[in-house]
Amino acid sequence: MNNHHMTTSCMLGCSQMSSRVLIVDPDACTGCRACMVACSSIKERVHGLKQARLWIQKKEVTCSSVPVVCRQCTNAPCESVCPTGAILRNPETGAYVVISNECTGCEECVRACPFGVITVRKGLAVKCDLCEGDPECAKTCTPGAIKYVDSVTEDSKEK
Amino acid sequence: MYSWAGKILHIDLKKKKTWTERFRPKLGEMFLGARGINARLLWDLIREPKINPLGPENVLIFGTGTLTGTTAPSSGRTTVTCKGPATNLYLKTNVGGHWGAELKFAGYDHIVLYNVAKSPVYIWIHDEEVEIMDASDLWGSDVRETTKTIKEELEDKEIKVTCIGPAGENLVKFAAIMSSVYHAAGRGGGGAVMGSKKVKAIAVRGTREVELWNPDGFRELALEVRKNLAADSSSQELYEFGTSGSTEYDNELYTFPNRNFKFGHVENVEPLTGQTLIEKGYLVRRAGCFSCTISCHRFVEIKDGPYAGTYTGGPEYESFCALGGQTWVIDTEAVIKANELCNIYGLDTISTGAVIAWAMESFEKGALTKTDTDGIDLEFGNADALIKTIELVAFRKGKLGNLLAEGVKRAAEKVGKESWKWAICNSKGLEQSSVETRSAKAYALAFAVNPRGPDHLHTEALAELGMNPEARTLIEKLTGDKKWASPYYTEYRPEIVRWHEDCYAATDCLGFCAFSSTSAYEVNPKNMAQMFHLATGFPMDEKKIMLAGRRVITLEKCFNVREGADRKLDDLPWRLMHEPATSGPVKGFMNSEEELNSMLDKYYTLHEWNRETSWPYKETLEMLKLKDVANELQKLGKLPKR
Repeated sequence: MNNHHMTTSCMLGCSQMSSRVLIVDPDACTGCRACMVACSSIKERVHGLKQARLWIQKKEVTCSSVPVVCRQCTNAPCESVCPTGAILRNPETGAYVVISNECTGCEECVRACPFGVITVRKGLAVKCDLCEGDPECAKTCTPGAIKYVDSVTEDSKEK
Repeated sequence: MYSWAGKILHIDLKKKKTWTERFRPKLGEMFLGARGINARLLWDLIREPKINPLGPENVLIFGTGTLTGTTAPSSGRTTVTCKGPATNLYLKTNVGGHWGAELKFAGYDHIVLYNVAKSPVYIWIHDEEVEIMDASDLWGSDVRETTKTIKEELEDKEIKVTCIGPAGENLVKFAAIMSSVYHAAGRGGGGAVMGSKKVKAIAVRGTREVELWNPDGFRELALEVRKNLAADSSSQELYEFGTSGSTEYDNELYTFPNRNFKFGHVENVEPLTGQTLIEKGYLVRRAGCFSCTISCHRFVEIKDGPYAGTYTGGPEYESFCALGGQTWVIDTEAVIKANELCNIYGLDTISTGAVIAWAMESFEKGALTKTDTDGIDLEFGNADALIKTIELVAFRKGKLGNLLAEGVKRAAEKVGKESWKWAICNSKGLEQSSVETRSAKAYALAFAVNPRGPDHLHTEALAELGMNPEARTLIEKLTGDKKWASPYYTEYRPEIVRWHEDCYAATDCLGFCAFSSTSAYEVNPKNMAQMFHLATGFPMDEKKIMLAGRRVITLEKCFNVREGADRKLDDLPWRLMHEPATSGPVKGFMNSEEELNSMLDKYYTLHEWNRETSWPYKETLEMLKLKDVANELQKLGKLPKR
């Protein structure tokens, strides 16, 4: 599956800076979307799909599903296009985070993100910040399609 | 309101008018959600008994679970309720997939469809916007095409669709309502009701949010229950092999009903197992309903051979048994093909298999001949005949298609020649699901009293089999001794059924899957009550949630009482009452009047219903805060007093 390849290889290339990364395994994904409501629940304190910072690319007729999470890219388009420098990398987690005081809600980052995982909510950009090192999506994903692992573990090497 | 969207969407199809009703929190507190609130709405909206289920007076109600849309595990199920065309009685049918959660996110808990549209329509709900769209071009399309076309037409892949196929349009009495393509609200002919209203589909896109009363507390508890449910061995088996992972086990117990319940064992049963789907490479993916930690759903594909190009969700246990075992088509690929056809034409696999098995036996016994079957050689084991007959039924083609589309009870009445003796339905008229009740007595009782007809989807008393320590502990709690965890006993079956009824009702109301509560036992009345409380803010405990379950069942019963039902309808198919199981360890096992009667007496007593009529007492209805229901039954002379 092409998607599989793209998702995981990119992921590994992107997060050298931190020791732990989110990896996805589309073959394990059952498409249940619990990760999405878990994300909205922890980050926005509501349950919704639109309010999540990740999404599931689905094809219902073949029951196929691919979790699409923020890659925390090495050369992150969201960071480079931000006119006010409101997206910065957290050196501890490796996650790009939005500095809300600086964000103008201009949506440049939304347009720049190739994976569609940034949205604007209440006038501010929102994106995955890896839940400060304890991502709720991975905790909620029963089949293990989203995992938060050390970037050099055997598990991630296999992918 | 928290957790509930708090809104019911009403749609009058004739007047093309839609309106929204904010529901009273009291309604949620009393009837919880989904199945419960649906039951209350149905009672209120159908005021007269004896209306035609396929006429404009019937309503079709969709309801999402109280916790649907949250991280509660396996909580995305939807209940569909109406007066059912198969039985002319109460019908609730329940479905997984992702449509219910989407409806919740659009801001609605329930939808009620009234009346009949002048020409085919589909409903398009995007958040608060509701449009009634022309569906003339979609009429005639199968479920896959319909789902695909609507998404393309509305230019949004994330839209969730619930729809009917040709079977629903053609008013087949066991037409299903299909959701997220392969998930069926299958039993009892809800699809025909939707077809009679000329509603092809309900498409939903929801971008709103569900707020909870205590989101942090809920999140913690939901995560804990998710972990426990995921670690449960029965859940893991369901994930690994699907529901048909247990075929071999049932077959070894000689309780794998086949050839229209004449036999309980198949020599070579492997083709009808979830294990074979994996070993022979048919299984492509395991898929999950909304927020599910179990994911029993299968997606299969046939790559070569005569059925190359076939792909579908399923088959699950009941479909394997109904379409394979009962018809004696012990052939994985033929069953996958038959399942695909049922899914895309929108047919309930259980009734489809049952009605074809009845026809095969009728053919074998000479009650049906080739003149009646449009030339089809309708012998047990004839895969081509199975496939061909499904097509005839869905499109009501020819003599055979029209006969079988009416369901097994009406077909047997028409054909006569004692064919009712092998019509596997009870007096209510619904085809029984493929469960051997002759050697599982709680199942026998539960099937007899099920308001929609004999099947396992109102009360799944799996615990009586005592298959795991959790089941045996539960039986001990209900009966005082683990030794009663054996399905051969008739003792304590009413107590076992009563607990499962209330638990199952609460499960349905909250939107949980029965596998989470009456198979894995990780979702239980206690944590359901806790989750309900944290989500809605309404104080709830184990006792109160079980009482709400009892209220729902009693109201469902009252609907049937109003329709004229009494104790005589709480029976079992003739064959399972008069012909013993033929082989293996259960050889000689049978249900009997005497045995069933003694269980029924106790069951009605536990319910505080009158034993002679089976009707709830005035005092019982008042205790359950259903005084207005009691008043209405009193007017009809159907309210016994103690």
